[in-house]
Amino acid sequence: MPSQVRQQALTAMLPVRSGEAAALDAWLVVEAPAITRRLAHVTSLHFGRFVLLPGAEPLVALETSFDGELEAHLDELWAAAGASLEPLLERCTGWTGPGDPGAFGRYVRAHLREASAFFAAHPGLTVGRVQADARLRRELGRYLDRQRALLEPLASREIVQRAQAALRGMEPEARLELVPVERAVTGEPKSVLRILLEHVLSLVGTVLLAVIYDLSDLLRRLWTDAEPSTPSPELVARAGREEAGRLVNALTHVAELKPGSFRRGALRLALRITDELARAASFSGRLGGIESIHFARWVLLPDGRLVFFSNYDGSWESYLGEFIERASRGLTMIWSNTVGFPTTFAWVLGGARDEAGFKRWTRARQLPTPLWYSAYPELSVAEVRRNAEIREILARDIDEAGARRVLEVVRD
Amino acid sequence: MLERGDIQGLVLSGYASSPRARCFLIQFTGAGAKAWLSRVLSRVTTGTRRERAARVRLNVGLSATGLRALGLPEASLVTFPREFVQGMADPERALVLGDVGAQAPEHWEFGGTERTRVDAALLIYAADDAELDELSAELEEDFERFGLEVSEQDSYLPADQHEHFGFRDGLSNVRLAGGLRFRNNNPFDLRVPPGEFVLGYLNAYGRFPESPQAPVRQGTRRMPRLTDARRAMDLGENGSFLVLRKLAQDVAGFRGYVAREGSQVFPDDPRAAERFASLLVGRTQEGVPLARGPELGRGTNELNRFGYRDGERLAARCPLGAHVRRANPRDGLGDDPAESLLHVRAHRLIRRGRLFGPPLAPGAADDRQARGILFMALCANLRRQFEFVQETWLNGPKFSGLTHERDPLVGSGPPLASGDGRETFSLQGEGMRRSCSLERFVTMRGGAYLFLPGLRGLSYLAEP
Repeated sequence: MPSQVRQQALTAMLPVRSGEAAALDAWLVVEAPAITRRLAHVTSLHFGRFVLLPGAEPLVALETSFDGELEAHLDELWAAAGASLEPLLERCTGWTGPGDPGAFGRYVRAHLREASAFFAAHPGLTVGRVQADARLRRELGRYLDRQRALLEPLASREIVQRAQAALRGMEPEARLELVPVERAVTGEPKSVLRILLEHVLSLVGTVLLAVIYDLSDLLRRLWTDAEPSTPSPELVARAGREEAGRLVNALTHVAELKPGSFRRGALRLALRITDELARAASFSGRLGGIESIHFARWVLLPDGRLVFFSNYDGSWESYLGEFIERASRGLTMIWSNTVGFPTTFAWVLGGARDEAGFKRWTRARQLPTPLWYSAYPELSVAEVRRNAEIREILARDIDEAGARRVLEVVRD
Repeated sequence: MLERGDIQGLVLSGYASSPRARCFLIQFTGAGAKAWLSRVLSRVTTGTRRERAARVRLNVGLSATGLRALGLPEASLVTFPREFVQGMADPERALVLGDVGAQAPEHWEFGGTERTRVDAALLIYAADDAELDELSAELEEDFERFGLEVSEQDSYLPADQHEHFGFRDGLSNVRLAGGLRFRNNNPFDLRVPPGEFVLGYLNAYGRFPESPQAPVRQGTRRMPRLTDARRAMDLGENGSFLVLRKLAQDVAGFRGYVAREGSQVFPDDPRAAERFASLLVGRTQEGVPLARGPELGRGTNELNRFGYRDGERLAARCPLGAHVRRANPRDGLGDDPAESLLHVRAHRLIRRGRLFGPPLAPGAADDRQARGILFMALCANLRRQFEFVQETWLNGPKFSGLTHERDPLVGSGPPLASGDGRETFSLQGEGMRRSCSLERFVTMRGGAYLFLPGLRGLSYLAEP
């Protein structure tokens, strides 16, 4: 199984015809179950969503995290869900209908937006691989349970060798394909320090300037009654209903850049650094120390809106908690340049540390995401990575360390 | 410094010297709610040392529907946390809490439907039943006089501190920072800033908790302070949120299960059932944490002085999914013990639960009596504290690297696709993990989210 496959981010901002936004929002809610069922046939699709971005010129964001090349992914999307997407596309400007097979691909490509920063927690693992690894893990667990009496007296290495033999025997039906595999990620990750050092001049400059700008923001808040970030109860209720009870979740969030070229420059720098940090973080699967994000990206639109898309494990509350406890500086560096963010100092301090303010601000700018798809809605980041590790060990000759690791990783 | 005279006593004390308790679940049916609250107000026990030492104690909590019935305007209600306003039985909250299927609100005895809604809970504590009945009689006169619908639920602190399944309980209750001085400094159980439990003080993130507000008004009693903007009153100050959950325990069922499953795991051990039950809990019946082993002293402080990292071998003695490990993971989450302890500090609860129903004697046949725990927990942030612990730790299938398990005692939620439809509990250790089949013996019977206002807050609400 060659798995030198690249994971990529597709973000397209499709312009909505005037007056169609409300209808489109309602359509997304109604059609979500049917469309997500179709999306399950897209073998290159890890996570995907269609989200309405309201505003003077509303947009529908098509956002996916996918394997391989864009063209093939778009063809697959159209083949699986094309017909059911037509009512959506017909509400977008410039869509001329599916006159020919490549129309969808051309239309989406014409509206692509590059992600300013992109993070993937399990790079090199295709959707098929992630799902097959989960099956392998499950079969391994079942084998250990069934053969408990026989295996328990044996040494770790022998237990895992027997499991390996048994799993090889059931390969065809389980499609386990226990052959050596390599992940696409190679080389050494850059250290955080090195990334920061490479940008040291612009960082220092930005921090110094930010002190002045933050101060002026602070004064402005004192003079005028600051715009409180009060989330609309309806939107919070929608988000709450969408998220409750899910093991993997989606966040779509739109912030507006503060006016002035300093903030735009500071945001660009923050996103560039974040992108480099995110690349390095892919090796460990932890962005800013958080091991619960499958994919995340920031996309800066020309009108100054900064859209954040992420797919994360667990509840919103625990996700935001990790933001506050582990990644507050990095996030403050990005979002301090946007309107309404809790008071910051020197670009990276304060801000997201204000728990209540940060949570309120995030909720207030969060968008309902009724049409969201995950190819593995019950697998956490840690699980995906551990399952892959199990396959990598089982695909080779088992040594003592590998055997111990497999038995340690199969925890339940 | 805590303003003890304005904080309800239950927040600062478990009232250990008053082992008998009664919880009146109240519905405000007539127009008498305010007048009743005003009568009760003078009896409310505060957190001052003198009052906490009294033999008879009384505290009062109000739900969102209760606040509404007391005339609190909608504009003020929306400043309360969303979870509180929705109430525990709201469908979204029920999903978050895992109250689904047989545990769903429509099956509860109280708090689950409009008919059984809880507007207020009046909690009284006394040294013995005679005192409890005497006080109850006085209170009941008022219930009638002011036209309140009331049901009651008794509970008690067991003399031997063991809950119905036979385990010593309440060993790792929270220690407040800034209040009482403790001689023992436990590195595995950090002191928690008071703002995690009482509104108006700094919390674990070094901030003041969000506090509900109410329109400014004059009163005959002392009213709450004005907020910073001086446009509203700080209704939340010195208040705390109380989670009430009645959890029924099927003791005979549990004993049968641990005997069956225990004999599989420890085939030749006459104490197999007890050993297996300890694995589910993470402590022995006497409270000795499995993570530390028997060399530990028996004092309460000693029994709480342990982490999950003192060497891999020791840590492996306690299953990753054991109840006490899920409820308080201490230093055991992620890679960094210090970070874990700080993270855990932001998700603690003050527990004030007591038992209901008579204990079932060891070896006795099932007597079909109702028994269990009347769980009560206090916190300043329902979402970040109580609901988080319930959702992410107790019911979280991915807790500590596990994949498809929930808490072996109180876990609940929709079936997990990856779990083959049956529930399991796994034992880790050297060599292979062992997956045991798990059955459920705890049932949610009723509950509510309540607010325990400070004394000035209560005065505000009682003001006609």
